[in-house]
Amino acid sequence: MKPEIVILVVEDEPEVLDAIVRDINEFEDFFDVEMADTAEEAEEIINGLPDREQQIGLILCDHVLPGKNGVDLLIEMQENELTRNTRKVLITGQAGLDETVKAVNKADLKHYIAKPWDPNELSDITRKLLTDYVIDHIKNPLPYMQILDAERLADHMRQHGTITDS
Amino acid sequence: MTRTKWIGLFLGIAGFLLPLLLSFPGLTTAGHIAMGIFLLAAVFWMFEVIPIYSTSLLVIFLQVTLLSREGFLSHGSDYSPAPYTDFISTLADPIIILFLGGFVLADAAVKYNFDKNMTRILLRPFGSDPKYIILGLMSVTAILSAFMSNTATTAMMITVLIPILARTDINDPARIGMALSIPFAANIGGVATPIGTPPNAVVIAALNQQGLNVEFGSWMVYAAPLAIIMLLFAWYLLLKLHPPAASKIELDMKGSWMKSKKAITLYVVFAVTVLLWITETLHGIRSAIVALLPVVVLTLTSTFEKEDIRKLPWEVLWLIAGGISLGLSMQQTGLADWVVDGISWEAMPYLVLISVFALVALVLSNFLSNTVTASLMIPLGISLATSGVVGGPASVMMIGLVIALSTSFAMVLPISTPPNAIAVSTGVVKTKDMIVSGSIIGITAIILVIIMTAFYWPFLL
Amino acid sequence: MKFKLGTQWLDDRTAVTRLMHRVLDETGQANRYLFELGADVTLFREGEKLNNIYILIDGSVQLWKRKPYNEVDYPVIRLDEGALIGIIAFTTGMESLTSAKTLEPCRFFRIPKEDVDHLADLHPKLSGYLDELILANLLERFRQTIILQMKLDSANSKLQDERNELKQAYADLQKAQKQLVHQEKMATLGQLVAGFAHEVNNPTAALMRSIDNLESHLQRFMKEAITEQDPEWLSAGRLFFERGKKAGYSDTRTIRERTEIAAEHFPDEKKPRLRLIARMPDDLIEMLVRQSRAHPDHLHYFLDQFEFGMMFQNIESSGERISGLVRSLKSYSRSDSEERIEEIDIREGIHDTLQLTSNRIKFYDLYLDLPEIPMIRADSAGLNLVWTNIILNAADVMGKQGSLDIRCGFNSDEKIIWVTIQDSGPGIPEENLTKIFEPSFTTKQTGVKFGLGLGLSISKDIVENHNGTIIAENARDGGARFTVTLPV
Repeated sequence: MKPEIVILVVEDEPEVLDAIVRDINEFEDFFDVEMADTAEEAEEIINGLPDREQQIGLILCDHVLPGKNGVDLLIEMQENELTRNTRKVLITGQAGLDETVKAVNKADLKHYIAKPWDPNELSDITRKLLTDYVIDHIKNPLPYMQILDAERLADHMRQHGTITDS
Repeated sequence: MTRTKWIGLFLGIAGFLLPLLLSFPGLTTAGHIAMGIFLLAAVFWMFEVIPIYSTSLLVIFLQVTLLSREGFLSHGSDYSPAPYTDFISTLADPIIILFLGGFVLADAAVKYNFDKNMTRILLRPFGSDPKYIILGLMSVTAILSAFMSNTATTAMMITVLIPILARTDINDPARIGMALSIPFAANIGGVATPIGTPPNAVVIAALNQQGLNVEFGSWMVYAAPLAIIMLLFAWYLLLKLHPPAASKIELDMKGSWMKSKKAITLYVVFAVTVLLWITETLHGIRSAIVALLPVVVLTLTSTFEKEDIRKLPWEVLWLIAGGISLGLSMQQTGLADWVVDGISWEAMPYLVLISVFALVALVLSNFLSNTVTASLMIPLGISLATSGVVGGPASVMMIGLVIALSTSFAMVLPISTPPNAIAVSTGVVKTKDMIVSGSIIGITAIILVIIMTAFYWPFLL
Repeated sequence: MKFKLGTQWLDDRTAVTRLMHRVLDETGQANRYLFELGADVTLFREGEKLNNIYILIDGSVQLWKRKPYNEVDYPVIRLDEGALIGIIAFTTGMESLTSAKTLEPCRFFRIPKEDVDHLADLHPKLSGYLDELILANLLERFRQTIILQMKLDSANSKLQDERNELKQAYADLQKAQKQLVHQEKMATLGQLVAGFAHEVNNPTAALMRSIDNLESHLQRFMKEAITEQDPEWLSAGRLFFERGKKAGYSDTRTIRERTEIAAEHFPDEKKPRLRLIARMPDDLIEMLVRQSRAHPDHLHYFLDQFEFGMMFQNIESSGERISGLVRSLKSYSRSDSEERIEEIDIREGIHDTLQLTSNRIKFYDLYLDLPEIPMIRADSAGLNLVWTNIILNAADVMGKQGSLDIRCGFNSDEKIIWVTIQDSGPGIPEENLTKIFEPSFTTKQTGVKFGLGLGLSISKDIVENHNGTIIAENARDGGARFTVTLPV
């Protein structure tokens, strides 16, 4: 069975894309990692979501892309019902302050990772944001306890009675 | 819908129709209908065709429409239908009110971090030796789960456990021991009080219907010793199976008591309510009435607000109500007696009979919800006891205790209880580890229950 | 008008005063009006109301005007015999515009204002004389004014000339300074780059050598670690490694499609491994299917070998990219040569520039038509700056998408080489075509984006220093085209 949640990685340089995907390898047993090298490709994946019965929990997006840039893609996702809740991260070497501010204000950017990134930081951020996403949007968080922040998931269950005695 | 669910749906409907197409000699028409409802409920609960609480409501609905005085069917002279209010009032049975009080108290405790702060205080005396830390974790879990839901207690304790695990060497077997200790202790602690776990409610309601009033304190006298022994046994077992390698683990729990007026109200209400429950024998105020105290005081002081009420696990109450209601119609239509009469129980000695019940309850509830298991078994058990096959009024009580306690000691698989599922989902515990220690604990518990049936409870009743 | 004395009074005003003196003597009124003063005596001050008119008979009087901003008197005019003093104030009735001071002992006729009208009563000729005297004086003053005006004019134009010269000198200085700063910048950059290149080259070389060693070590280690010593298996593994080293990157859509195909072949494998299989060419996948059918547990070994190969290739190509960049940077800034002017192939400079600006132009369609052209003697670093400025300007106007068309050629008739760089942007507005080479011209809203450039003006200077030309024009199909020609 396909995992319910997709992590979408958008990056045009194949070596960098490969490296990012390798750094979040540990999540692949629980999440579907999808790659796109252009914003247009990412849109295609997003539009295919309803058919696949999957949702994008997290997007790691490069800023400079051929064609539409990363910030515009994130803004578009924020305006799209399917991907509004997706946690959005910009991984970039050179987005200026203006673009970043735009992403924060208009796309609800959750995090900014500067290139070159620290693999541990990338993994931590991924874990944190996916935990947020699961807490907010997934009914049964149990399958994710192993890979995500179990303490926060358990505390969420405690406070919201997600699972009850039976 | 998955394939299993389709099968369940088909079997459930077949089970419902079967008694209507066949005619069992000696069983009333209403009894046939009640059997149909029973089979439908049993299959739906087992296959989870629909959510289990939904099956409970379906049971009540079918009873009201098919078996009540105001229902659509007219019944012959062999069955005088009960008013529909009998079935509906199970939703506000005293035991349901007791649970409601418990839920409000527990949720308010979570809201004001009372549970976590209690844990912090209670864990302190256990030092830093991993052996005693495990004992501490288990004791605190058991105590809290005796008054709160097993699942909520487990979730809370997992938040305590994870920082401890992070400080423990990844290869230290103690990690597995600690991760198992929490769900086990939560399951065990649940048996200690009437509000500890829903199966207790189903059993107590059935006993009430037989005119046996089970006081809060007296249940604790019957069940708590078993819980304590089992807790110590489980501790011993986990230490043997997963001996800690580290000699020292630092507990570093931070936190502080909330000191707002509302928080203090909660502390006081919690203490007073628990005290009144435990001392029911002294003052004679029914525990269900005491349960209204937290509901009333906490809501009128706005300690517990509208949003909090909405968050209460209402579906658990409905699940229990369905179980109670199912037993009701089986008794009234004579179905339960008919089943009991159909089997020659006399061939079995008393203790063997008890053992069979305990074992069936244990095995069933490892695969089914504990409440469902209790709901399915208690009507038969009560009939068996009242028909005199197992002798004496005390036996009604004992069969009830056997069923309630045995269902709660089912903790072999991750699906056995929600606490088990949470523990396994952390990834620290493998299902294999759980099967090994869970089976040993279950079997030991059954043996203890039988011993108590023979040597402990008879002297109290 | 008819004058009693003809017009001789215009030349000789003293004759008129003498006549007046005589007439007054005749009437016996001379003493009443005669008035004497020593040297250096103030007759009246600026701003006073004059109640008399003075006719200077002997001596000379200096008129002074006070400058309003520094309160210093300066000499306006020197009056000699025959002059009427206070004539302006007298004729207009206003306060005196000047102060009057005697330069030597003087004699005047001082005629009170009220008497002027009655002079005719004294002697019928007197009033005529006075009129003539007044006119003569006014004419004299007018003449003086004209002369003054002309003097002022020539002084002004001289000043203007001087100002223009200064302005030009200042502009020259500024330009010289700009060029000096630029040269200094390039020199500093050159030193920095030399150091940087050295620092980067060493670890890169170490990296590349280590990876070579690692590769052979790994292969040996594999051979020893695998106890079965099945030569066929080993060589197959070696093959997967070699193919991994040659595996390129495909776009994500292809990877996704091929991952799905791989999933059909290997339904039990997890996605990361399937993605790896997706990177293999078809014949390799077939081989993998065959191998894994025979020995299912060998699959991971082959996949690992393939991935090793890919990683090695990745490290190697990254290392080569680093050294390539450093090489370009070095030759771009000519940091390794002392001589600025040397024999160069300008196409190398263009390639270096393209590599170093690749970050800005990586999404453009690039058309290069750079056939062999003669070498020229030139300042390579300077010319690189010209290419950089033109290309970055194009990138600024085109944004993210566009195309760049760069060509060069040799015109053997005129003995020049030419380079054209054309973009697909909106072109340059007609009115700006000549202005863009002016130092202050910019269309950028915020400062310079590329720290080396001083814009197109410096480019023009550089090209002109090579005796070349640079022109900007709009191509027929839109877009700006810069053409640089350089003599061979």
